[in-house]
Amino acid sequence: MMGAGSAWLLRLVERLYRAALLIYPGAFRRAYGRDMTQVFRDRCQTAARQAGIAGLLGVCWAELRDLALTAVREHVDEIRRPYRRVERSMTMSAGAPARPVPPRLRLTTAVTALAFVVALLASLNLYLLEDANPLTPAAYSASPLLRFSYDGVYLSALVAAVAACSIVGYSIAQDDATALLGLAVVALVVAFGGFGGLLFRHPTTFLALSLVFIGLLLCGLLVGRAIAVRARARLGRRSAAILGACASTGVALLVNLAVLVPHTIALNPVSHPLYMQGQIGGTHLNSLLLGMAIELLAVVVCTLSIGSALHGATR
Amino acid sequence: MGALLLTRAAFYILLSLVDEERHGYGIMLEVTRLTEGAVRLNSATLYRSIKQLLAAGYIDQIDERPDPALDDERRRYYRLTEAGKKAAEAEAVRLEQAVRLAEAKHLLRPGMGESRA
Repeated sequence: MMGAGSAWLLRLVERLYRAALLIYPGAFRRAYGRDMTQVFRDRCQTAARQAGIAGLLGVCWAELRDLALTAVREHVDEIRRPYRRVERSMTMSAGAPARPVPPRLRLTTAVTALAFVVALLASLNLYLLEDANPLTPAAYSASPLLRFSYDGVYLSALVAAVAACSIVGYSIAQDDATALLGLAVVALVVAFGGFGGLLFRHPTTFLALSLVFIGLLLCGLLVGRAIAVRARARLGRRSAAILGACASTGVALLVNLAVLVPHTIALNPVSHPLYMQGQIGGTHLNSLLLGMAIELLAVVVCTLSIGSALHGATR
Repeated sequence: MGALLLTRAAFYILLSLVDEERHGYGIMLEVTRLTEGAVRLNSATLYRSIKQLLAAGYIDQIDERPDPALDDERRRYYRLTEAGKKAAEAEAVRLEQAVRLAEAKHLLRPGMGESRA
């Protein structure tokens, strides 16, 4: 039997259960989460009274295992019957039906996607040039900044990819928890796909890159969240979340551009004089400057577009 | 609304509501009592089944509580609909036929179910 002092354990498992409910689709959680928690609480209290901590733990194990299995089934149902999802969110949640995405936000989303593609091509151009140029090792020995800025360009491009996926996630998922869960999975896949190999070869570098990756991602997400909160009243939850995801992508693209510039400047003191002397046929400067200029243009247009959409949502 | 293939949990939930309206935990306790502990529903399966039964029109959610003085006012009560009663009857008949078939094939002997329970 449990003593009165063990009531904190009941409160703890109830809180854990409530947190575990986040793995359900939002509509189901809003409709039944409170009732499920209440039934769980009743069951735990009975088990604790009858069989003590062992009984309580037995109930917790059975409940959490069941919760995980049914959550998967609920998500499968959501994917298989997308048209019902909208209907359910209208009937089960207290809110009004989902508002359509305004045309200005559609334009912003398209511009952000375009800016992301341009930035990706500019970063790719950088890698291809460096791989092909025999002067690259000399440039790297001449400037320690290059190693850091190279990683910065790479990591910001990965973060932008995750943020761009969140635009798709918020467009499809219809609720924050599902979109965030998907985003976490995408972030893990991108991080391990992008630099996961270092985990075994250079664990310290892997840790450092992971911290920068997470930091950049969190910065972008927090900016996006702040914008989404500001725009929510006028745009509705879903459109505001999409605008926030565009802003997160925009932040990552700004960082990408910001590190691409010093990288290019640090790289060229080695190769540019040789080009000017006619000793090599090409230089990083021409191609990288062009890539930077196009990316700058795309990021400026993207930022203006996000600002315009936010202004329209808050005025 | 559409026909729902009854799962074991859904069938027992319908059985538990034959006599009276119950809330979620009441359904859970009644199923345990009816099956003498052989079937214990967990909260997640219970509410997933309730969602499906509501969508199929086999149960209704009722606003008034059978005895407000005795219970938490936030609890939601459920009752069996006519369609739900028919679905439970049809399932019971199907199970009875399956039992007869199993007996005919000598898979079941008298008292076997009792010893397992």
